Amino acid sequence: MTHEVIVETRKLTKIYRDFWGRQKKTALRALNIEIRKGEIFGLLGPNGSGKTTTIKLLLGLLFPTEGEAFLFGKPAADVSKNERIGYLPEESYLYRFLNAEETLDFYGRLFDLPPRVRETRAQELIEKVGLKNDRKRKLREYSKGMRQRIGLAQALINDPDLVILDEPTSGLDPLGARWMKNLIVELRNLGKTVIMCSHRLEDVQDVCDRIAILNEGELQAYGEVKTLLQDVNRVELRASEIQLTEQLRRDLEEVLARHGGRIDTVGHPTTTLEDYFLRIVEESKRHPGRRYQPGSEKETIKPAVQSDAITERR
Amino acid sequence: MFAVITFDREPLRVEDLPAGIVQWTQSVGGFATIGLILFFLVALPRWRPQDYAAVPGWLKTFFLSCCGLSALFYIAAGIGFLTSGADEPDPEKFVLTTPNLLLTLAGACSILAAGLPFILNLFRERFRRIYALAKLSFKEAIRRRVIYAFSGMLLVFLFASWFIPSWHKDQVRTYVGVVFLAMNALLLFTAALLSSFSIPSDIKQQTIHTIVTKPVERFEIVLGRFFGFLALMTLVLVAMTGISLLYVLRGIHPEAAAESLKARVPYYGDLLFENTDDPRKGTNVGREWEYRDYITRPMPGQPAQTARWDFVNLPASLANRPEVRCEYTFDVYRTTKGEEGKDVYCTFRFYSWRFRKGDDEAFRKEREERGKGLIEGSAEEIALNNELAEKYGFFERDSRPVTDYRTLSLTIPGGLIKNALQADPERESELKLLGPVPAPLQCRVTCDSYTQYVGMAKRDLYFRLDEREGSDRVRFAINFFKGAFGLWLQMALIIGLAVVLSTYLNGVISLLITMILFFGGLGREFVAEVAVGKNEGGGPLEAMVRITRRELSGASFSESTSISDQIVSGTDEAFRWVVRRIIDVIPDVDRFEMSNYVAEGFDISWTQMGLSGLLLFAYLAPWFVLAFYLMRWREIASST
Repeated sequence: MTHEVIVETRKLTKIYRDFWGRQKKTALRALNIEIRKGEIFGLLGPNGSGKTTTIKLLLGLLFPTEGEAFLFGKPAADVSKNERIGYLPEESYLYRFLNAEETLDFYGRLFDLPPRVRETRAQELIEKVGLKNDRKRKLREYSKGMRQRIGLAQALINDPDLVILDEPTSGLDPLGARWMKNLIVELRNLGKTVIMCSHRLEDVQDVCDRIAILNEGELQAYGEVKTLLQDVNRVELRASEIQLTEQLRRDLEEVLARHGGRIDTVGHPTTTLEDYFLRIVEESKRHPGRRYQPGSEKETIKPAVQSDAITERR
Repeated sequence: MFAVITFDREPLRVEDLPAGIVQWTQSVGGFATIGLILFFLVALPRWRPQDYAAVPGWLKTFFLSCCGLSALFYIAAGIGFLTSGADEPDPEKFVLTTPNLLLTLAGACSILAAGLPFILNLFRERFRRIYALAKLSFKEAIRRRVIYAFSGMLLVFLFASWFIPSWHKDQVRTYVGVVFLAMNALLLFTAALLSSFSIPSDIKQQTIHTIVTKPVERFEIVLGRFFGFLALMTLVLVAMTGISLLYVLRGIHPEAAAESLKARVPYYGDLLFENTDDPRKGTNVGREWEYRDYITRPMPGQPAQTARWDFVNLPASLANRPEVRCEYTFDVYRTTKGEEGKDVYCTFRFYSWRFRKGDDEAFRKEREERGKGLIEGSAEEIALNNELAEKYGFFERDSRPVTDYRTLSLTIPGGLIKNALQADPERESELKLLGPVPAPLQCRVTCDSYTQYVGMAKRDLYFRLDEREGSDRVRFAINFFKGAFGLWLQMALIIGLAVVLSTYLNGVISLLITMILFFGGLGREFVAEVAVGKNEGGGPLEAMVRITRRELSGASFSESTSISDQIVSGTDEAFRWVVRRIIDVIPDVDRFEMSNYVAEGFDISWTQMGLSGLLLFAYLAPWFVLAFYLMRWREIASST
């Protein structure tokens, strides 16, 4: 990751007004952030905190009341900046009377891509998002997850340097959400910058390098995920190939007491529910016909197989 | 009821273009000025320093210079109007006076100031993107099946004439009238419906977010929608016109075919009257429709009332023909009961400008001597007529019948046209000494029947520039498609208006305003009369007061000395001023109506089609500039 700044906002403010110009709501107040090349940047906050407003201001869908936003050094209102941007809205707002191929062809034309490039990219992306067998079906027949996939494909049709994703995992099942997160990480690995906005904290924690937390239009926290989440007053120790016994607990208490500390909790580590769910689904695919047996929930949960991008990062 | 075109006003002519351009500049310039004032009062105070800094220096200089010049010219024009005491220009009668010229320059400066950002933006637009958006609109309309429903309904309407009884001679007129009416109603409504809801629906469903976040100029969306719907509706129109044509052409009665299944190319003269009270008018027989003026055979001793057609710009091609066909369709008004099966008669005399007194007598004498024994219509007779007409510059046809509801014809020798087109400086100087030189060819018509009146208007008599006689299916078919071009222009007008309005308003309101403007356009003539105070009964307030007083006629309130009448008159004048300001917002729909030409069997000229197209462009261009600004300044995401 370099420190080249791709997106910069300077005192970016948005105040919604009514028809007569009277102030209705301050959606965003003096936001100053920088997003660097090759990072995954997360915008977090509760509903109405200003996340989507920030994205819309960056994309020129809204005009700032005060302040400025620059993308690739160009003002947000400059249409030419869109050449290097891919955008996936919260809902996949696409034309439902088109099929997947027509959708990508249409958006490819908007980028003025030559026909051959358009066709090649469309086929690659359809394959990448796993819609090869459904490419001739109208979007109105697609499930929410499929629409989100084709939405992502349209956002990538121009091979963008900056991908802006508004709630990319919203409405997706855990499998879909994992697929989406893997793809986001893959994009980052390809050197692209990703801005994602979400209120699903686990998603942000899983993939984001840096985050900004907004509340009621104000920037509350901003920085690297690791740094922000680190609790410097506590120490976590993980050990393997050892049984948790009373003796071990007493020994640990003694050692910690010598250093002026104490044990808060001692126990077996748990995996996340998402990892557990994915492993169960994976195993059921490997063993068709297997079903739940009473008492099996007491089986030891082994750590998930570290085979995909997200678990590798952990 | 006649194979004749009736016009409440003259069709568009190339020579009217300069005046039209000046009027357009003044009118559009006025709207541009209002836009600029609003910009300075409302938009500019909200600009941030960085917005102002983002505008290139040369553009700022140009914009402010144009605004400054415009203001100066408007002030000068205002002073000019005040000092000259000239009334406000009549929109129907344009005269380019100095204040008018200043007004035009002011308008031009405002148009430049408001239009330059639009023009600069046009250079950033890409055909491929507009094409993609147009194709999207096309697919959307087809896949939402709106078009199928309306096309199905249209097919039903096309057969409506099965249930409408018509006289066999009017068969073509009835069929053409019905199919064009059906196409008009359904295609125009479909076009309005499709184009009013497209952009609002994009905004509501937020599909527009995925478009404007691509490198798309917002105005490309407007153009894409416009061209997409226009292309689709054009295909539907072409298909429907083809089907309608087959429907019209099948089983046409021979009499109807002879009357209307053709595309006459007429050459008209200017009509004047001789020996009537007013040279522009004949006798008023009391018909409610004052389109025609009437002449009758005077009682012995009185001068003969004559209708005179002056043919000024004679086409040279007519001179090369042995015979030139002249068609006429007059109205008969009987004051006494006529004889059954007997027509009213008229005499037609044609005079070249070189005609000298006594030439008619000489013509008759020589014609009688040399024409003895010649069979009427034979080659020898035609040759003799040509020779004598060219020699004397005179020809006549006595006692030609005039029948109600029928187009009749006579032929004149091409030699007469040759005579009229010849240069004759000696005769010209002679005539100049006597007064204005007469038109190269004049046709004088007199009524031969006592107590009967014959009504005529300018377009009731004409020469045929085409040579084909009888019905002509090929030319009729081409003309039928030309008539559909008029409908295409109306469709383009509606689609353009609806798309432009929908950039700011929601679908229902856009549709309503489009329909109001369109139907307002159908009654634009009346609105124009109200705007200049030419309508009977005064303005709306005066008319209302008259109704309460139960006085349906009388002196205008403006001439009254009563203070209340003066207030009413003043209020109406203020209303007229407002109407005059907004009348140019109403499209001149009547100019795009061409189906009557097809129905009556008259050719629609390419010039007329071109001028109508130009008029549409001139009307829609300012609307599209408005759409450009509405889209540019619209916060796409704020309305969701």
